[in-house]
Amino acid sequence: MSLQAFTDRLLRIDGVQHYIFVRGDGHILAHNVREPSALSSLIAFSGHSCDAIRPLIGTTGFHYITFSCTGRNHFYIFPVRRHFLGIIQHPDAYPPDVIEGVSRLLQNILSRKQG
Amino acid sequence: MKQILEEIRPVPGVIGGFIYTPREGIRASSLPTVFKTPKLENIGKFVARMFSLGRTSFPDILDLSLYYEESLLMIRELDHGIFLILLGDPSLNMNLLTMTLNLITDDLSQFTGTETPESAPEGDTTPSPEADRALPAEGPLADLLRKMEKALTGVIGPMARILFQDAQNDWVRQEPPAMETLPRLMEILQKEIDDPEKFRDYRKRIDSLTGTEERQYLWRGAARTGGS
Repeated sequence: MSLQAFTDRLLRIDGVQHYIFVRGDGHILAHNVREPSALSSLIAFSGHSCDAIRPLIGTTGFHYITFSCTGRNHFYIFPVRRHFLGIIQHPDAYPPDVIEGVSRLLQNILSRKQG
Repeated sequence: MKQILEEIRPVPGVIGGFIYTPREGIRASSLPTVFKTPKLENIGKFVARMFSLGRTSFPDILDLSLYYEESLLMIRELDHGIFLILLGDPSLNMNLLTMTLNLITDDLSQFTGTETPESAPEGDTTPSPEADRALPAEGPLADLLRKMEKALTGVIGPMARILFQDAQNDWVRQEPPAMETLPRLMEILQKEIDDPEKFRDYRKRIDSLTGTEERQYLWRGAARTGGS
């Protein structure tokens, strides 16, 4: 799947308002946000921090991070192999639906790559 | 602080938690003893940085949650620089936990009167010591700090922003921010970078971005920090 096709599919998920897709080093690959550079640092730092915390609490697989905001435009970070995907949800969206929609799309893509 | 943790513990799925402040470390913990203080401090350091960096893009952050295969961490800032960090299992009911936390934090703010403008004594205009130490937004020092951050980005990439902010905060806590105290900031950065080769690269990059006068201020402490 091309990057364009991937971002098109992301935006078709109910509740996804903005996205930013970055490499592990924070380099931006695609986005539709206003201030991508601040977000890319946040995403890369948070993603790597979650990986670093994992052994400290004795757990495996890191699934995602949620920044819950009082304005309900919650921000999510998903690991995608050596990349990270940041999602800002629409304030009216139901968070579990957004998380499930994005997780399903990522699983779909990753399992296709493995197959 | 311990009482807050005790009040949250009965929420189904909560394993325990701790309270962390970047200045004082662990203030209280209700986690099993296998979670030793250095481990908790490491976790606290990571999540506090994530929280403060997150706030630059999302000023209205309430909670931060990290979801793993078999567990999750939920973080809330109870008061400025005081973080409540909870560890739960996948059965944790987040809605119930959020509701409980909202009640507790409401009680806490009523009890301490924190962050409410009404609680400030009338007519008290004495600035706090940190207010005296605010970083300038413009001028030679602000320009030089921007160059230093830019040089650091060239060495360590996007993490530079966080590392530089942390170092700046430490510097301002220890010294009044001025050209004369910049060697202290360099010492802090050297410690944070923790790699002699990268620090040498950093110095070279700074030198290429700065003028002679700026460099004189920066490297006055080089002899005692082991720089060349």
